[in-house]
Amino acid sequence: MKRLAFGLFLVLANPGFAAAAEAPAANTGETADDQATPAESAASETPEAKGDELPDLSEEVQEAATQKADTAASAAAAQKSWEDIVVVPRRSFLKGRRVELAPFSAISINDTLIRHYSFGGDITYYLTDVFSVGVEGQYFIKERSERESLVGLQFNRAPTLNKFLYSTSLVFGYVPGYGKFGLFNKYIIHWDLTLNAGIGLIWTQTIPINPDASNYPPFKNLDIMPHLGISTRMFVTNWLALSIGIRDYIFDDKFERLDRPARTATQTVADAAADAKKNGVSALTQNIMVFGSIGFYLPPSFQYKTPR
Amino acid sequence: MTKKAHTMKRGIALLVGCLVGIPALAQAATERKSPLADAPAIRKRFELRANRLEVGVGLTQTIGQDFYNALLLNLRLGYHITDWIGISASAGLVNVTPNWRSSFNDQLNSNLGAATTAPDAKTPTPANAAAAENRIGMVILPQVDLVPVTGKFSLFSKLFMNYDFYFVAGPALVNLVSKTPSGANLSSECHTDPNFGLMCKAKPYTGLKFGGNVGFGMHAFVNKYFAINLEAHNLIYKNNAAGRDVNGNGNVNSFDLAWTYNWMVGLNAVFFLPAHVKVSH
Repeated sequence: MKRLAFGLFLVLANPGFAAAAEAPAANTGETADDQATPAESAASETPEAKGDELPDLSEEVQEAATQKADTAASAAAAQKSWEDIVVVPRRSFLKGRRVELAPFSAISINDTLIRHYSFGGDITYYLTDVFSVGVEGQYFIKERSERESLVGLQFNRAPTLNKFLYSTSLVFGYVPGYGKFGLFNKYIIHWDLTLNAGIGLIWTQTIPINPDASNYPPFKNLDIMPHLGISTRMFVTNWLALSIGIRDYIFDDKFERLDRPARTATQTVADAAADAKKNGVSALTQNIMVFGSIGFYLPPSFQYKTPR
Repeated sequence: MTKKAHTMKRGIALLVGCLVGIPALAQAATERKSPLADAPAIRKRFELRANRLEVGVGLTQTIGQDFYNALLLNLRLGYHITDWIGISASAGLVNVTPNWRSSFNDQLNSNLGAATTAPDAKTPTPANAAAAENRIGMVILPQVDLVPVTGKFSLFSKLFMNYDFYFVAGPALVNLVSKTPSGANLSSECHTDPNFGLMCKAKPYTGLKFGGNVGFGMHAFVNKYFAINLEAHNLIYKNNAAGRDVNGNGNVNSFDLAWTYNWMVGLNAVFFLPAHVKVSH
């Protein structure tokens, strides 16, 4: 009974001991047999080796050591096979026939006098892994720059400015580049490069030079707005990607005239705004915005169609 | 078998079991660890930067300056101590477009006043305004390069290139110049009568200024020793680009200075020396 229990203990201890034998072998290049030898000798050098029943004990230890040696040898072989593996991994993320929902935030970078922040989202359907079509919508918040506030003080002039209200676009995408990088040679991160082109509408509104809104009411514009863009996307999980990009929106916007007359006594506020719009000055406007977005993909998983 | 011998046998079995089992259990966790757990992400990797000198030339330009943008002839010199950290200096030495006005400045000039002798004139003439405005004449950017990202990409599945992405930080030395160093183009009446009017309350802010520099960049390696380098810097320094009153006290002095953020982007052709590249394990 006790012999059975002892044998059972050794069997349970075996895998762990094999690992103990394996770890130094993996690190130093020593053979598993070399690691097993001390165990054998330790058993044979036990003072009790001279006892009458000791041959049984010694046999059990030797048998265990032999098993350990076999296990360690196979583990060492496995270790070598790991090292020899040459892998050409598949693309880690597939987008084809998936929908991406991407809330984003953006900031305009090209206007010295007024800055716009925007919040919005893209809904994109990937026809294939490289072609996509989607819609984009964004809401703008304006911020006048310090330079704008100084124009009056330093030059005795007031700039004519328009603020952007909101926009929507149809967006076509193409992915010409795909890559991966190592972060401190520790993590592999996959990314791609996307080119965008689209067309849409933007709603803008004048910021009257004269702040008296009752006599100089602002007016709104609705402009056709094509755009070009480039972005890069880093894949975090099978359903999540982070993206940064830049988009250049171009549209013909109408600004307030410098010599705009005040509302007359016979005009309503709406009529005055319409009149100011009719006599406004058109100018080609370029709005370059830098985007950051988080993309959620549906369905959240994908299957490879080709064998590994 | 005597009871004593039996007890001794149990003791020996327990001792051997402990000798064998305890280290084995301690190593069990190690056994469950993947043999690739501590392995580098990329084996046999070209160490394209480690212990290499980087020498390059190119162009760098300002973005979004209030009055004058600058296109500068740029030199880049660096030494990469390891594959992921290095020291370098990027120097835009010569402004090849000293009269490149921003679109805002163009619009402003088209709306500024004509020459006047009225003592209460508030609007400067285009010449007066230009005389007080400064522009970047030269930048020298000693910096530390941190290269956390290295990889390779394919373009149209045809062109494959190694690349890296890095961050830089360091001090910035910026030489600000004006169209005429002393603002001599201010109207003659401004010189004869210092209290002439608002249009004369101007003085260009020029000279070598110290500030900070942060940025990022990338190398795209055409081969093992030649790369295209794209770099963006944000130069942070105090400036009064208009050379005019800012705080509304009617004078132009150091109280009108404010911290400004000045973006520059550069494109360089760089060579890495020696041409031989080490390969990692």
